[in-house]
Amino acid sequence: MLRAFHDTWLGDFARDNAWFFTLGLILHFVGLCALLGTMLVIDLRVLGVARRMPVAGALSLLPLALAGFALNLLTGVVFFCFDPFGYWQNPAFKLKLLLIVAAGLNALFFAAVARRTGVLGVGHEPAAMLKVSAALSLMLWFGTLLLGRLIVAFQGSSAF
Amino acid sequence: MSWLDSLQALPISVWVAESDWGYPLLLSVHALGMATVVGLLLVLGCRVLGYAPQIPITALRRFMPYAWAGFALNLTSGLLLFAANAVRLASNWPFLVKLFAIAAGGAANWLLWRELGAASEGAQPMISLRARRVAGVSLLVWLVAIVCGRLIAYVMDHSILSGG
Repeated sequence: MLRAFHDTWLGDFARDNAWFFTLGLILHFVGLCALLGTMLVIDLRVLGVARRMPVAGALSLLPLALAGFALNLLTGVVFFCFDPFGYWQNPAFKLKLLLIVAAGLNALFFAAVARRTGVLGVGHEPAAMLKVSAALSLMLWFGTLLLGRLIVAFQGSSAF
Repeated sequence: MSWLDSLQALPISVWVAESDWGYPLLLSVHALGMATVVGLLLVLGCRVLGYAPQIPITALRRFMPYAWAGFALNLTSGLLLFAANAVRLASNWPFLVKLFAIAAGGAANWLLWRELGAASEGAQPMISLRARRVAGVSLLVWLVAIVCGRLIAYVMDHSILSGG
């Protein structure tokens, strides 16, 4: 399975061209800024910052977050194909994947609560559960970022 | 011994460079601050350029203290990362360009808010052409800062490989 990722033309190309990996990293950083910047505005708004902004207005930024996520998924696949065996046994990488899945589930939970409580209109105070989800979202996404940066530090380690 | 050597010889610099956790921890903090500063300014820039018109621009001012907190985080972590590798960074061209880009980004943000502030304190001030231009320049220089940040390591690694 890992071998299959390794043997793709993408993996070969990334290993043969250092600039390609660096270009991927640049795009990965741009993507994370789009994703985290957007989540900061949405989640902080739900938590009570900038109450003059309608929650629905903040949520209209979501396509930007999704674009950032898509860019990072794509570039992330390139990194993984570069060295699937290394990543697969890297504790920071494994925990990072786990946090991304958790952040995705939390986003579904957020959407479900928002739909049920109908809190998207102007001037409404978000429900308590929505605030919990927003706080969780910030922790999960920033945790994802920190773990991503720690992948290099854990290279060669097989603890965890 | 130049001031760069002296800076690099400080105990804190040596700790950052040689301890197991100093360097990765500071890099992580630096990424967190970057996501906060550039992320929030990216949203602001996109809004000024016409994206997400439901958001009152003046409400985005409330997020600037968070951007400043991120900046403070990155100034601190950045100074420490520089101290650990001062001699080589001082002649690393992406690093120098990055410093200029950050200064330009700060100036653009100041100009942008001055332009928006002049427009009025209403919920939806008119966005002048000048404000749009400044927002465009702001997005561009922050992109340059990110690209150069990545190239710092790229150029260094290659100078190691070529023995430079």
